Amino acid sequence: MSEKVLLVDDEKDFLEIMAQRMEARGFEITTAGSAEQALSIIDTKPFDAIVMDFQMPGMDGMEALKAIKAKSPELQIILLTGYATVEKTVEAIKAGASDFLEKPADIEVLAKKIKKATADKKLHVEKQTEDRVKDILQRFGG
Amino acid sequence: MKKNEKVDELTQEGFRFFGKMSASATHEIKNTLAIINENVGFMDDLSMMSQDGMLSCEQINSVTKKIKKQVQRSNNILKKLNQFSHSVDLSKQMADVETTVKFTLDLASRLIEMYEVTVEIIPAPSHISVNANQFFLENMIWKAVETACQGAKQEKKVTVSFKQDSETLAVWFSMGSIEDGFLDNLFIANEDKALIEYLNIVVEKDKTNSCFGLVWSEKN
Repeated sequence: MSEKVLLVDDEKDFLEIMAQRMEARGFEITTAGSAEQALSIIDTKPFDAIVMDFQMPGMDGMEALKAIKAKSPELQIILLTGYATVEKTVEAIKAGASDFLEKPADIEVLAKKIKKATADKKLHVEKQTEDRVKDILQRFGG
Repeated sequence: MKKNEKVDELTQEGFRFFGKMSASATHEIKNTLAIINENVGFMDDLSMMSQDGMLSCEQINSVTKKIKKQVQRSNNILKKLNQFSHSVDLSKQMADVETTVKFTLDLASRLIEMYEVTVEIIPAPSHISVNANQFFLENMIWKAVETACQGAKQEKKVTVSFKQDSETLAVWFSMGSIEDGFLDNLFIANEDKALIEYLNIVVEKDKTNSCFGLVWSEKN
């Protein structure tokens, strides 16, 4: 099954060509031109990973990252940025980003990161399910 | 503030401004490079996917058009950055205020975009110029524009206008409706004060019309 990815960037030309190239690599791509749009899209569709620009008009990448994580903690978010400083990377990882990539990015590296993020999401969901089952068994005398 | 403290504040403010504008411009250039990079990668993808290794003219045209657009965009950013770098060439010069406002808005267009605010310029009724350091004048105008963008939270629109009478000339920044008290704490940081004093400006506030102005007395 192909990975469902939400691409978020305010650069329309970037979004279009990136979506086309990712789809050619077997990913199922949805695009959003702003963080606000991304937040409403994740309410309507499930995703394995989000690839998001760090600096966008309106809600910036960090704010968006926190808002998405608050809504869907299991969602894996890869941030794209013009300049990845150590401080920015640490701040983003602390806020829940699964990875950070500098623009212009190598599409094969991005594809690998998405696959890794998807695997991490599965583990996260499996762990959650396991915890829930354990909790039920404990409470109802398993 | 003592004189050497004022010089320090002004120098630091200048570095911050230069850094902010350079960072914004280089960030935008990275975006254009990312689009060029993806388009070149797309050509590679197409060439690998096509059976005979040949690409159609239509596909090539579409990609080259996109690349040309981004090259043009990068060139414009670099031109602005180059002009900005030259604003430190002279310690003082007769600076056209309206042209400087337009240039600063253009230079900081991506930063303004981040506020999602539209900035409209009402052309000056006549040519107005001040004898000032071009770089610090741009710095002050950016500070005013950024402050106005922060103030225009509700209407998301800033109007810049120019006024000149026999004694003063001014640039006014109108923000539509603003929060109570917004104008009370404008430009109170030491670096703001140093910049205002260096440029011989008085900041006037008009609460009724939700605007503030940078005012030069022509007698100065």
